[in-house]
Amino acid sequence: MRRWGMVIDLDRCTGCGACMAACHQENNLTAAGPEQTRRDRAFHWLKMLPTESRLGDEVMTRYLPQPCFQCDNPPCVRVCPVHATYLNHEGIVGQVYARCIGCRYCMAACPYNAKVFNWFEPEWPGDMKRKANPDVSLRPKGVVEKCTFCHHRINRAKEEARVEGRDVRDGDVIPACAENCPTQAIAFGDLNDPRSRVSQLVSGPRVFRLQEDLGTEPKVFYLAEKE
Amino acid sequence: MRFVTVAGVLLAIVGTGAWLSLLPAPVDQPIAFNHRVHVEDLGADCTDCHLYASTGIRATIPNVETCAVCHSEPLGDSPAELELARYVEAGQTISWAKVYWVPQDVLFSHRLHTSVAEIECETCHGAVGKRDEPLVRSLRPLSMDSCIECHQEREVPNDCIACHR
Repeated sequence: MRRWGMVIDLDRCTGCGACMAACHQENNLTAAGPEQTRRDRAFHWLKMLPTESRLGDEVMTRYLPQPCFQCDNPPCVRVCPVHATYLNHEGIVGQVYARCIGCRYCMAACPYNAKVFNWFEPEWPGDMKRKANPDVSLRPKGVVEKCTFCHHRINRAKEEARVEGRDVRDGDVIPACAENCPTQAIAFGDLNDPRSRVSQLVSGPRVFRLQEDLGTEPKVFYLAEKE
Repeated sequence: MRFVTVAGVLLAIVGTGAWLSLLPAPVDQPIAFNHRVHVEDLGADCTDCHLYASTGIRATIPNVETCAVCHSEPLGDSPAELELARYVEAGQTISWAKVYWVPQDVLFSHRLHTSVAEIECETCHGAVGKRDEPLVRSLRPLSMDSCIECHQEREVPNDCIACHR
């Protein structure tokens, strides 16, 4: 059984935000516009988390790309009253929009703020709706959504493999954020395959996860910057 | 006695109406297409016209270019044939109405079911190839129950997000 995971190398990441833009495009996220943004209704599936560190008198600000961590022990799943979010057999925390009632318990439960509420009808100005990615649904207004590790790409890779009569290979699935990272800071693959790139990166000395003490067991690993 | 008969007739009318209202509304097709002639008399495969049913995600409904491969000249003088000839001559898109569809958030891959799982088209679509009249509604309801039942029978995963994107 596969266990999908992601490794983000902070030594390579420049905080440029290309991953965020790519995610927005790939997953048909609506644009909030200035008025709604002022009301704090703009949302992203992949956020850039600002962190500050002090070196003597100097303050260093850097940005951590933060997708959904697809926890192995997800707090959001435990609180959902309608089974609209669940942990699937490959470790992806799925969102079933047709089931979601928009109660937002999961948003309150997620310690990483990975879940976002969709305030908008899936509408785009002019001809932009025709440019939507057909592999990803257009969410109705009033549901909670989040990063899915580009699950539609996982499905597509599995389908290609089945049509060709082979197994999914390491590197067959590249989420939009990883694909668009100019410094190739994001690696994605099967954590249960000891030969996969993510497995090898995770066994290195620089690995950490955010708020590991919560026991949520995230499957997004960060590689700390070298000294 | 007469009261009982009248009540029975009224109940039957109301019942039939209620049952009919549960069916999807029939659609209008632009041309009276005859599936049976193409499939049974001429031996066409579904994929001869529904080009991507075995190789793509969506089977696609044939358009005027596909018809024009055989019908570049009218092959008879039936009203439907003459209607098609007008479309072919003008190169005009035929606005077929879809009768089989899944909700917007569901992705159904045809090739996974036809090429990989080797399921016959009739299993979900019904005996379309035996129809003389154009399809005005689906012959089989495409419900999630039928998907899940089939997946359980074949012991393939029923993971929600495999279909609900």
